[in-house]
Amino acid sequence: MTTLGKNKHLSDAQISAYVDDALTEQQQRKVEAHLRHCPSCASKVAATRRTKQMLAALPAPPLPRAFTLTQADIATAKRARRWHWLRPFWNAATVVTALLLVFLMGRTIIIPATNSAAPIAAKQVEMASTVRTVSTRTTRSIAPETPRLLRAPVGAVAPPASNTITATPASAPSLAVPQSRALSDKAITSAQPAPAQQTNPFTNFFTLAIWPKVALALLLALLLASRPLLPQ
Amino acid sequence: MQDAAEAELIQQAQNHNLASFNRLVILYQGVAFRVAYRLLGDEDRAADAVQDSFIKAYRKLHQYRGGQFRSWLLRIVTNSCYDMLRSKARRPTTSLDNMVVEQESSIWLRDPEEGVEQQVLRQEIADFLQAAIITLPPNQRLAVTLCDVEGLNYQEISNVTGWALGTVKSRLSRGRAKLREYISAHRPELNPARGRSTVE
Ligand SMILES: [Zn+2]
Repeated sequence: MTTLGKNKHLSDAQISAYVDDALTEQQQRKVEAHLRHCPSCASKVAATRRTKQMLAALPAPPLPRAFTLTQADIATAKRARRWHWLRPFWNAATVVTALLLVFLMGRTIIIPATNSAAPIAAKQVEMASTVRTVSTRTTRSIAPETPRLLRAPVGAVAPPASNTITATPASAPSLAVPQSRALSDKAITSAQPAPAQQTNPFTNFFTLAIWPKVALALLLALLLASRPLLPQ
Repeated sequence: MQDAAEAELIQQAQNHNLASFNRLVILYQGVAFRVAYRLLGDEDRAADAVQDSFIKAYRKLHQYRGGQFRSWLLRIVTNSCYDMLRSKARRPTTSLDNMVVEQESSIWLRDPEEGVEQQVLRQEIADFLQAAIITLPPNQRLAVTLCDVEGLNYQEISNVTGWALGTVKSRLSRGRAKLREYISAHRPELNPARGRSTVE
């Protein structure tokens, strides 16, 4: 802006600043020196000055109405001010809920796919660690208990007055050993398919953490639905 | 511009005094609407932007920390207008082609070098100039509006827009150059030098 070559015309920036009297004295002298022998730049300066004058003289558009606020405007503004801090938390909660849901859904989508394709054994492998602990826990709680209950008559062969005997289906204690052996064998075989029972779809429904998912989905819906109610 | 009475009004408004705030509205609604109208080119949208701005201003009044209230308010107005320009929900109703086609030579320009400021621009010319402003990119439009239409100095424009002084100057000069060319192309008789009668 400061340098002004002999044959170089004024830049728009120089013209604009010159018109605004915003140049230093030195710059202004240089510009004026150029303008004395350059009608092209002189005409640009005149046109720019003219444009500026016309813009300054533009009649103001009539106000369509007064913009004073009413009590109603204030009420919404007040409410907005009161709850304004909530919005960022709301947004963060929405995002976190959505991400959690997507994460959990991603896992459910993988699991049923393998479930339908592979039989029981594969299912157990694919299952999430939480599910596995749940199933082993229940298996363990069922397995040792059944044999103990059914093994009891075995130990109670001689004295048939044990309290476990009354509880067992060995209603006729005279049947004694052979039957209770058979029963305990049966108990062992019936204890075996217990893990398989854990993986049936109905049980999955409850153990596969579907309720957190439902809860998250509901929460997300609630967060999204109530968003417009929040103040801007 | 900012006197003690205005400072008091602001303080009262900050304490939720609606009447005081509305006195500020009355003081500044003119400039707010003019700027919004220049930026948006449509009266209805400008009115919406201004209404929105005053509600925002009331809401944000506790954030105002001295300085020129006009700058603070115009910043809110400008942001509202930019939001509207971005959303493009409604197209401006003024069509540039319509503006340009109906141009006729105007009597008031017979002696353009004399007392332009005092002359009342005819509505037709005003509409033409507004159409010319709307052709500018929004930033240049804003610079030209604040400087040439509203008469703000570079520093105050910088306060309103948040641009550096150099940015203010360059956007202003580019906007002015484009307007100058637009006027030469569409209404050469508005130029003082009678268009290209001079060399080059
Ligand atoms: Zn030149």
